[in-house]
Amino acid sequence: MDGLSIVFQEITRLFTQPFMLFTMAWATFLGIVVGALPGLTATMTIALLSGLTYGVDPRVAIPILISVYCGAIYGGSQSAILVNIPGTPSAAATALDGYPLARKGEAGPAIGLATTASFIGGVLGVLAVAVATPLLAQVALEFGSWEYFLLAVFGIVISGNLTAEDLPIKGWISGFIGLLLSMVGLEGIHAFPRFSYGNVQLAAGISLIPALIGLFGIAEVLAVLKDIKPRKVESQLTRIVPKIGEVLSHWKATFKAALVGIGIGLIPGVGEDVAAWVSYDVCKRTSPEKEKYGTGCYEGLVAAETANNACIGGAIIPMLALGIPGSGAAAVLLGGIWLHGIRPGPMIFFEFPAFPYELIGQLIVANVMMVILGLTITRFTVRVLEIKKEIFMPLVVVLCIIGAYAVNMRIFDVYLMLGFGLLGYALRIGKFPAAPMTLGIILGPMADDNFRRALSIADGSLAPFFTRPISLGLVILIVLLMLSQNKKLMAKIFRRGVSA
Amino acid sequence: MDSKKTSKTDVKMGLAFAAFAALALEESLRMPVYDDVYTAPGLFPAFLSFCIIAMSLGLVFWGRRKSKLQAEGAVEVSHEEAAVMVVERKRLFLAIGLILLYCFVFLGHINYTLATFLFLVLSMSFFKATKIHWIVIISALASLGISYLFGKIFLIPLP
Repeated sequence: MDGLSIVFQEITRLFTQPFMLFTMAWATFLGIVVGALPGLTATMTIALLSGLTYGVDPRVAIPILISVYCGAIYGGSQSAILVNIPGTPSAAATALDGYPLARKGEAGPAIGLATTASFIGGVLGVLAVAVATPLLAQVALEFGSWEYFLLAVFGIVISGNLTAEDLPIKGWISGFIGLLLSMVGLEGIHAFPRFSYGNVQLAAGISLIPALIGLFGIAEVLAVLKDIKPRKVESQLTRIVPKIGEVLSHWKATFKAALVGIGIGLIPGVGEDVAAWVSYDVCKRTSPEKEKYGTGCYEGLVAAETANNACIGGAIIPMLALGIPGSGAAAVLLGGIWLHGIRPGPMIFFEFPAFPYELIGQLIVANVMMVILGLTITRFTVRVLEIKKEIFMPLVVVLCIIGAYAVNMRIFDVYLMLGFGLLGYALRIGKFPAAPMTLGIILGPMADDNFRRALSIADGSLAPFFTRPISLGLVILIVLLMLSQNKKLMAKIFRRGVSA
Repeated sequence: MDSKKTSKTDVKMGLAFAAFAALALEESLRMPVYDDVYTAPGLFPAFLSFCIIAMSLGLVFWGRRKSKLQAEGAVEVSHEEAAVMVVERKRLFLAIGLILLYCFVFLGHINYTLATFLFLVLSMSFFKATKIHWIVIISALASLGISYLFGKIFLIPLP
């Protein structure tokens, strides 16, 4: 059966089975609500649901994760527009024009346009998945141990560069610590128990899902509960469904934003928030009405919202074809997919030939659900936003603990999750990004096995890293990325020294 | 003020990460070598530890330099800011304490639904979420609902 038939078959299955339709509807709804709630992110929710859906059939569980992913990335725009607090980091750029529009009394049309922009971005992202994944997987078949090791390092370095708030070195440290933490447990070549200190639980390794729930969930709960500022919802909603002319009038910005979103998504570990900011910047620079950006401009809203949803598709391409996720949320989604025994990577089209196409079908249905629910439940979202965080966050803790425990049914995983929660909170305080650490934990075993295999094959020689064309290209990219950041660092120190 | 705080935090965290990596390096070097040194289990962790130590020390150096520069133009923290920081610190420790209490004392020692109910009541009360009778009602409904949903419908074993 060809890929297109599988996509249509999956769409038909999801739309015609009432159970699946209901499941995807509530999962998308849940995604929109958690996305809208400041303090709950897409990454955290996918991590939480990966644990909670562990025992569920993968043909049900994976559509749930996909629906939550799409819903949550979009949902952040609702609180960004209504209360000027982005529900997810990816909606931060949306607030720049969304909130001024709400203050002008245009919250309804702004949410409507943000919803359709997210839908168009999401669908264009899905098209990119359909076109680019088989091509990238084909190229990846040429990769050897050298390229896989370097790809992991490249992912960590670029993710560190783009996600660190102040210094890229913090992103790199975070990523390398993630790699080191993934070394705990039996290693892949000799089955030697590393860093286990005779502890059977540690010898089994660090479970990905409890670690991610801790890093994103518990850390988020602590940060939100610590904050004493209450949030207020004051916006009045009028017409929400936009007119077709309003949607089409921004086609240029939509197209540019989708391209930027997909492109950023392809870069390992970077993600939807960076996509939204870069797209906003690109659209602003190239717009004839750039002075209107930031004052309540619909084009700015479209630029941010199209890109963050297009980025979902972009992030899924390397996840499927290389096993290297393009964003933090895709990293957690990859963990959720692993839990169900499916191993994305270059062999995906041989080992699980139907899976990529089923995923494309699920993404399309999730986007349709997102646009329908997004245009109809906004009034409900406003009510949910009024729930006090002091009521909501303790409930999130309870769910985090169930999610961490459910994967292996070990209380040790709950303690592990708490440890990662505290580590995640400390990272936030120090402005160390968590995304590179997530990527490190995921890519660690791959990097380790391939690094040692590469050295063993070449009898300890590093020459193949520089003589193989793709490998050499990656080495040059990594060096350039690090040097460019070091230059900035040096310039920063030098400037401070001079100004002092 | 915030920037100064960050550079001090950079120094502390850089030292902590360097110490952590030094311990990992020591442990990596003690791992056995089987066929050849290139496939030794400790090779990659040692490489990573070395990189982390180098980067962390770089961060410490940068943080110290920045702290010194900022010390010259130091700005006093206002009373209001200090008061907010104290309250926020209290709330943070309270949240951590309650989560630890739930995980280490309640879970596994008393019935899951009761443990969850107690955790929710205590958390919402300490954070003054709403009136006490609402807190009890919300906590009871939530703990019963969560236990039923995950334990009976999703058949997920509860801790």
